[in-house]
Amino acid sequence: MTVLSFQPAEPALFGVERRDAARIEPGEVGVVGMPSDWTHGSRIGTRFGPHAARRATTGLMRWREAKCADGDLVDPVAGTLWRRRARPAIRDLGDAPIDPQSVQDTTTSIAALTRAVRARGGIPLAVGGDHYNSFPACLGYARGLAERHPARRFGYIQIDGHLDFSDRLGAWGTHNHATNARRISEIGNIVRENMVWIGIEGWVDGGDLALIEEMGGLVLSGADVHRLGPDETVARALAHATRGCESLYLSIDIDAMDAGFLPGTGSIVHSGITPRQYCCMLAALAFSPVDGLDIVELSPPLDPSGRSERIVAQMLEHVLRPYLYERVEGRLV
Amino acid sequence: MPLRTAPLPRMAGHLTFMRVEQAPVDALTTGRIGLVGIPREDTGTRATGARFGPNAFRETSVYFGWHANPQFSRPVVIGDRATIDTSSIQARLFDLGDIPTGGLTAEAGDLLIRSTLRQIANTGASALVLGGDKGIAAPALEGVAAETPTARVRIGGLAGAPGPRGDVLHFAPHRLASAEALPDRGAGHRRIVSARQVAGLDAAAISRMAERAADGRPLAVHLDISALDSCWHGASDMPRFDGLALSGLRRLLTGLGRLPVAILVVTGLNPTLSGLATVKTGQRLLVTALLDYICARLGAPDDRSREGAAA
Repeated sequence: MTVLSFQPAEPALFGVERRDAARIEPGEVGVVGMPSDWTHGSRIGTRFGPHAARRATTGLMRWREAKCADGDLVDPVAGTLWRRRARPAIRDLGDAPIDPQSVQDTTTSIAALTRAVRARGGIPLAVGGDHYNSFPACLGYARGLAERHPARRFGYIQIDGHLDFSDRLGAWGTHNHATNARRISEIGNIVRENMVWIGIEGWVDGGDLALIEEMGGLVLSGADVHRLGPDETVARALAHATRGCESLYLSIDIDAMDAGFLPGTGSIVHSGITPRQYCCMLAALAFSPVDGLDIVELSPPLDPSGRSERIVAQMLEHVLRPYLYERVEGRLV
Repeated sequence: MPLRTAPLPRMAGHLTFMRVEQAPVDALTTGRIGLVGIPREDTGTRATGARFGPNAFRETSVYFGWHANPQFSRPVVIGDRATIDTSSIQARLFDLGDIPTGGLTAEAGDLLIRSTLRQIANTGASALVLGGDKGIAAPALEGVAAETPTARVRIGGLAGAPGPRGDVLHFAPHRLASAEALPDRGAGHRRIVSARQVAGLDAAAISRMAERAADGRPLAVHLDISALDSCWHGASDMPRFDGLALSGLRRLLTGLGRLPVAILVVTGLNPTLSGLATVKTGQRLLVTALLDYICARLGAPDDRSREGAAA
């Protein structure tokens, strides 16, 4: 009789083990879903993002297993060889409870989970959701970091099409998808002058830009990525963000990618970063001191083709490479 | 008593292009731009929906109406740190509304379009027309030409299709037809410039090329969305993969906008095609390019400094 195999209706990210936050081990990535888009100002749908990311990453792993039966992979860009870890150092905690009626309650519940992961020595990975949710994710990370390493402060890199540094946004007030970086800059143990933005496009608020530069932040535009290339861009960003810091938080807003490639997001940009540039940057950041991160703004209803979620799966694979794969000796010749 | 004290969200309130003032034709003068929508289409085409184009442009453009929203300070183009003074645009760009062609026969609609554009041209202002399918272009261009002789420039559309007589330049035709298919070949000043050739031109070179071809006449420009490469959008029913990138279109409209332009007609945006995301992409892309045109046309102070970003 044929043995039937079923995929869970709600797969875990990359099909990894599920685990409670209280059982995360040091060095493990703890995945927290943030299915919330009530704090986005216009084109919503990102509340379906965590499920789509889990579905697409699980599909990607199944494809890798089918195509690479011995577990070995080649990175043709770097010319390096990798082997799939039998037990990836990633655990999926499920979704944080979301209350559409209360930004405060949503903030509290997300922050509680990322705090628990970081306080145990884990690396919280929060999957959105609109970009506001990056603030509670980072807030919990910062609190967990303070518990585990009271003297330690952290730098910050945000890859994004937008600054998200407004103090308040019209009817949405102070807590929404355009204020997350501003709120993060107010967290006690962040080094504000170590904040870096990569991939900003189009018109930005001159007042916000001036504030960032006055506080010592660094803004690298999408044009800078095209001009410098992804490796040099990341090198400059890391040099700035890690000054005197052992810890680094990374916020990945997928809308920095050109909308011609990735339309499944709310606030699109043109002439943005290409998928290759974005993935090269994430691959470089995978081996940096990042010990907390989020990925946000995937809106599956805005891209019925499904390519946006598949690109996000590839992005996650690049930034989580050390946790999914281990390096094998030798090089591609 | 106001219902709220916070600034309205950008998508709320009365819809006009970039939240500029709605004004009658007699508010227009030389040095101003009068914007009109023509929500008309040939409903016999494969995919209808271009009649929703004018409002799709307006809805996207409100993101750039910074002057109307007190929560923002001055906008800065992040690529080259150029500051934009939108107040100089807002004072000289007016949205007249839509030409009410609904329910009219094609002939009566054409007549109304012609007479409206003739009135706008008579004020000395530059007309910016948002379609609508390409069928609105001919009466709109003719209406302006009835008031003042123009040099017609096409962007996109079929190279081999019969265009209005008097085209002097044709940028990025959809299909580079055989030489035999070009009725005007050799007969006048018409020149075909492919999308690939546009990629090698800066705005200044485009200005020089158009100025020579116009021979002292103001330009009458017809931009069809088929000029754009389909990898950037899904908002046209005519896919192509040899079209303009956004950067090319921005340079093109900047170069043309620096010259006297009597009318720019934009056609072919179908906001009902291919789902929300791709349509929004097409809308944003076109509005981004239109902003360059408007800045160049009105001589906004940031115009020349933005060329680096466009390139």
